Amino acid sequence: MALSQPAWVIDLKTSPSSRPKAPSNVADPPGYSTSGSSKKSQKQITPPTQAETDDLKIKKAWEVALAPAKSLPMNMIMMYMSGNTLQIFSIMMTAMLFMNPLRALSSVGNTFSKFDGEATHGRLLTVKLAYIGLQILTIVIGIWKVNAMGLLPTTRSDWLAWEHAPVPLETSISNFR
Amino acid sequence: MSLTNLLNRFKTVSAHPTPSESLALSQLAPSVLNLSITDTPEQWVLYESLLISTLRTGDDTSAQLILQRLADRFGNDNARIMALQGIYDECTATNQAQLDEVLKNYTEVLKDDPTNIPVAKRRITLLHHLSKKSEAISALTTLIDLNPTDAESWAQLAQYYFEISMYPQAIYCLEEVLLILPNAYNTHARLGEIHLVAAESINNSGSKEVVEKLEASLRWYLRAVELCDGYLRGYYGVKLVTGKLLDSKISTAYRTIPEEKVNKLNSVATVQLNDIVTGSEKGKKAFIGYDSAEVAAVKELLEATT
Repeated sequence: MALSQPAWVIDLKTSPSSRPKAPSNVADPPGYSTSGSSKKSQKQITPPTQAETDDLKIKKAWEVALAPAKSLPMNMIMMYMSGNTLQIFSIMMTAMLFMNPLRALSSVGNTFSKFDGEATHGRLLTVKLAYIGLQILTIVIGIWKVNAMGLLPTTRSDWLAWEHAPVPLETSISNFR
Repeated sequence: MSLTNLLNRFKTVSAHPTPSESLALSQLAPSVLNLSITDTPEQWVLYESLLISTLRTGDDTSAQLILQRLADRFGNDNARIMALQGIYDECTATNQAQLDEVLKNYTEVLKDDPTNIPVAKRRITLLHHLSKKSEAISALTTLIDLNPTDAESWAQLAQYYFEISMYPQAIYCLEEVLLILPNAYNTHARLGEIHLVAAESINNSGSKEVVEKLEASLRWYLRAVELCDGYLRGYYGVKLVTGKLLDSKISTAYRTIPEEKVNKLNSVATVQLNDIVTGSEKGKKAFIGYDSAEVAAVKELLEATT
C-alpha cells in the first residue's frame, strides 16, 4: 500500500519556488506589529555613576530617618483619645511608646549600615541626628501621656514621705474647765 | 453492540481516519441508530461522530436521519446543530451555486448572532474552501478578536498564513497558541517547521537572516523534543535543520551555536531516528504507535543523508 506522506513532511519538502507569493492585501492577526517581534528595540542602559548611587543612598536614608515622623500624629491622637484612667490598654500603649523608640535608638548604627560608605559617612550624620530627634519626640509624647495619667511625681503630694510635719510656732490649749 | 462498545470503536480511530477506517465506522450506522435513545451525553457524542463518518463515506440518508434526531432533541436553533446542519448542506451540495447558497445562509445567521462560534468557524472554513483566502483570514481575525483565548482558531489562522507564505504572521499566531498551551510540543515542532520554510524562502542563502532563522528553527525543534521523548517529528526536524546548518554555504561568522554542538545534535537525532525506524519495524513494545507514513518519511531522510 502506498503511504501518503504526512502533511508536515510535504510542507518541508515543497520547494520555495513552488510556493505562492505572499499577497499584500491580507489582514494581519490581532496584536501583530510589522516592525518585527524578533528584533527587540534595545535601549542602551548606562550604569549610574558612583556619585549618583551615593545621592540615591542618602535619599533612601532620609526616607528611613523620616519614617517615625509619619507615625507621630497618629500616636498623638491615639494617646489623646484613649482615656487617662489606669487600665490595661492605655498602660500597654504607653509602654509601647517608650519601648519602640528606645529599641530604635539602641540600633541606630544597624538601621543605617546599608547606606553607610566612605563617601556617604559624613552626610549620613545629619540623617542619623534627625532620626534620633524624631525618636526622642516620640518618647516626649509618651512622657506627656504619663503625665496626663498622673503618674509623674510632679505634685507635692507625690513626695509625702519626705514631708515633715510642720512644727507649730504656738499651741493653744483650751482652758475651759 | 452496546453503547459503550460502539463508543470505543470510535475512540480507537485516529483524528484523521483513512477511507477504510471511515467506511468501517460508517457501517456501524444501523446498529447505532437501532439503539433505543437513552438521552445520555455519550449517545449524542456518538451520534455526532457517526454523522461525520457517514458524511465522509457518502451515506447521506443515515446522515439525514441522525441530524433529524439531533435536531429533535436540541432544537434547530442550537448553535452546534446549526453547524452540523451546515456541514450536511456543504457535503450534499453538488455545484458551486449551492455552496454559495450555504455561505449566504451562514452569513445571515451570523448577522443575527455574531457570537455563534460553531457557525462562524464553518463559514471561515467554507470561505477558505471556496478560495476566498483573504476573506477567510479577515473573518478569522474578527473571530479571534471576539474570542482571543481559543487556541484552535489561532492555530488555524497560522495555517492559513502559512499557506499564502506570510511566515512572520504564521509564527506570531503559533506563538499565541503557545501562550495558551505552553506545553504543546506539536506546536513547537510546527514553529520549527515554519522557521525552516521561512529560511528557505529567502533568496540569498548563506545570509545572516537565513542563519538566524535556521537557528531559531533548531531551538524550537529542540524544545519540542525536550517536551516529548522520542518525538519523531521533532527529531526529524533536528536532523534536517542541523544538516542545513552544517552546509558549507552557511557562513560560520553568523552562527551563534557552535559547530561541535550542531554536529553532536545531528548525531543524536540520527541515533534516535534509527532507533525509531528499527524499533517500529520490528514491532518492539517501546515503539508502538508511530505512524507508518511518518516512519517511512524518516527512512527516506536517513537514506538521503547517508
